[in-house]
Amino acid sequence: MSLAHPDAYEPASSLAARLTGAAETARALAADRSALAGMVIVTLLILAAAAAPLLAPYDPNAQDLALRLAPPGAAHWLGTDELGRDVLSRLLAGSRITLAVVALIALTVPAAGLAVGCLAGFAGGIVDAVLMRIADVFLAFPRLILALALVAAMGPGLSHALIAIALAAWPPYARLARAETMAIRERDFIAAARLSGASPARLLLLHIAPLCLPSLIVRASLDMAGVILTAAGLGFLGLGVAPPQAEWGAMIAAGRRFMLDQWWVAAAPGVAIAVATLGFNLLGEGLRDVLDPRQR
Amino acid sequence: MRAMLSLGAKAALTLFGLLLVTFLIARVVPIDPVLAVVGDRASSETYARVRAEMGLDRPVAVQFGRYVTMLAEGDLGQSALTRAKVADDIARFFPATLELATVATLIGLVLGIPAGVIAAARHNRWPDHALRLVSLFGYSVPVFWLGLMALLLFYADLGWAAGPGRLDPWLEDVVRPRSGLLLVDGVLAGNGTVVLSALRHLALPAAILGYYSLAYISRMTRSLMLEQLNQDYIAVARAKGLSETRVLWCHALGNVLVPLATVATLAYAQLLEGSVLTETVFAWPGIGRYITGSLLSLDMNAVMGGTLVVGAVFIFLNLLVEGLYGRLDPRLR
Amino acid sequence: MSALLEIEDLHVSFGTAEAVRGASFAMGRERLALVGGSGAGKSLIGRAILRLLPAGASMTAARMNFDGIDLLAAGPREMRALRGRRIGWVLQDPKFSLNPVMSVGTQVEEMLRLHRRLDRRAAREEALALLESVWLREPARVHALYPHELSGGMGQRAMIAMMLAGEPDLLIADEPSSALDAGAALQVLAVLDDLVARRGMGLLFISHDLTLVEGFCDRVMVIEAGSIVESCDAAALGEARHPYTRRLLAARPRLEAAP
Repeated sequence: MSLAHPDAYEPASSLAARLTGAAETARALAADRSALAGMVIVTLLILAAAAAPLLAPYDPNAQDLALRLAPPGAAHWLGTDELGRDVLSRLLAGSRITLAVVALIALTVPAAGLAVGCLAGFAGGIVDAVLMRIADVFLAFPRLILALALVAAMGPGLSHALIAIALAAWPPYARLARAETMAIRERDFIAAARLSGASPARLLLLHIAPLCLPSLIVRASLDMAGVILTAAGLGFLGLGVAPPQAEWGAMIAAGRRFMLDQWWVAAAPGVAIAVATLGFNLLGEGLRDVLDPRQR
Repeated sequence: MRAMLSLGAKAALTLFGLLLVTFLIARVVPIDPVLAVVGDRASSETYARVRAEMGLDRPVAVQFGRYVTMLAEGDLGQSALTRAKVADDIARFFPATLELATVATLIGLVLGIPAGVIAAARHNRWPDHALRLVSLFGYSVPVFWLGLMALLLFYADLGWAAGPGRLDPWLEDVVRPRSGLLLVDGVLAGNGTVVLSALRHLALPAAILGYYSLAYISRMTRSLMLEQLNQDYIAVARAKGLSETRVLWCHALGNVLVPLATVATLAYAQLLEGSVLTETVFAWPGIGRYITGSLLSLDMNAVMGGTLVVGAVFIFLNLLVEGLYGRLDPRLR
Repeated sequence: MSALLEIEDLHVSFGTAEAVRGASFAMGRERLALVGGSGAGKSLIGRAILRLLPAGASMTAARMNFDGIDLLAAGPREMRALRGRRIGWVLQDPKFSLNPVMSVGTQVEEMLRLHRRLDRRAAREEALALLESVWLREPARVHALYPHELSGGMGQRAMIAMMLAGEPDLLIADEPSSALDAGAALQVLAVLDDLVARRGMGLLFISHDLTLVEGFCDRVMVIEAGSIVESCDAAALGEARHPYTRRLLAARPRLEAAP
């Protein structure tokens, strides 16, 4: 997993070492063309979401019933939907929601899984058994169905969808972190740190957890693709954000009624979902090849 | 033996967890389930009576116990919408999902395994790259959208695919539903028209789902094959003078069959999970559509019942993968 | 002795790194040993002869002939006709060199049906006979077993039986006894000794053990870092002049007291 060359320089501090490692990773990643494409797509997505209010030619919620279901043209590059709203602007607005979902999940779920997994792997015994059984229950649950049931119970809405996705998504990270922790805790430098008086908490936080990060990062980036698809699926079923907010999945559902003659209303958001997911897939595969080739 | 017991214990525990989760979810519901049954114009006596009947005045643990007992008897409650027993409804709709998932997985296997083998044999050459492209799209394009686009193209524009549902409307209930699987029932009844109609209706949804199966199965086959092709015994097989075809399809693939059984089962499980979306698009009367339909009409018993059944099958399939297949490999016996 | 195998200036490289540098030798129906440390390139020479180099390796040679056949110009079909039928190959560990999910008997019969065109019944009988000829005491039982169910020595002997089924003229044995304990190793070597002598085959014996080959082979070649540095009769090894050979000789454990 180490990218260091045999005659590499000696880093001045652990921070320097980490930064060099990161730079090496970035360079290796950029060398892989498809990973680069993935990075570009994801970056564009982030930019589009961030700048959506500036980039959108129209207000995504502005209706113009006279121009409803207009085909793509000069005025509306991607046409208009059934309420005369500009599809392109709604796509951009939808990208904010997609990115928000991805960001929120990516920031919370792997961290939670890391915490649970490291704890389970480090403590062992009863703690390990209990935590892993809980993880198994959620792991065995089909993700979409769990999300459906939860949203059905709690009602539609973005926050509920997020909770649902998060609950179904954390077990693999816990499993991964636990496996890594169990492998790492036997290593010499942990014993050395322990001998020099480090408390278990310090060991976990400073030494073990950071080493688990690469495989978790790989898993997370590949997972985000699935998260986007699940979120879109929930939106398609009407269980995501409430209308009139623009969400890609919901836009497809709305456009379904007019598919025969005004197919662009449903086609455009689908392409957006596919491209965004593709970006995360490519990025994830690239990261995996660089950071953790074992996982392929 | 010990392995079997521990697996059984794990199955029981996971199932228990599933029941607990569904039970808890059902209790989170903001809707009053009593009201859903009696309506909001019932008297307070009727309300109290039904509430007691439904056991909602008892402590939570007792309610859970009652829930589990009911399930053990196969009673999934009553659908608020259809007034029928949820268990009966599910028994009616589940075979449709099974039939679709089976045909789609078969497509995925028949096309995906050879594709993966060829991609591995032509590692880093154009067949490999082509497969990577195909499977990348399978991992990126949302299934419900692809289904919609396919319907647009093959049904609306070209008229190749059949309409919604599993059969032409005038052929419904023509054959006796023995297994619930139309292909099987049609063959058993010797009715070729029904079989043909069922196949025509299966074609498009199975093709779409089959594509996703194919993406996954071919990718996994490729990885597994690449691992094998680096091994010594493959070099030795070539040194024996065997044709490359035999080395690839007999020796290498033979070593990959057991892991592939795992892959096939997981692919099947994935399709069951995805049925929720595809059946909505294709108006396929399966359990996925049942769950989403019930969801929209807030029929909680139906939703929970459906979730339970799909969840249980999912758990079973995953445990099958863990337990049974490990024993099929002669090396692990 | 007419040349069975002639190799001139063989180079094998992985990208820019050269693993075999200009190896040249010739052998007839004799026992020729190729001795060197790990990573010296000896296995690669064996693989190069069969044109079965690992992925990422490339080779060039001025000449590479087997019994008059130009191995360099041979196409895939010609090589396949040679492999197994005229040249056999035995590797170090039967757990990895035999197909793990096929029974031993099936793998031996595969050779018989391919190269000797026997039908199923005749193949089975001949397979049993072959297994017996390598001193496997219960051939029928071994026939039905899987490679991981055999001990190292039994597996190696099964491997030899399999590779001799095609009745090759040359056997390339790559560390055939290195993974075995002393007793099993002796048995395997005895089997090889017997069969090679009886069939009048050529044997290219690749090993890291100079003591072993000194007694077993007729001629010895020493390879260091990809180049063949010594080539002499086994009997004349004591007079070898190359420093690496002298080092290998000096490293042998000695039973007599030091002078």
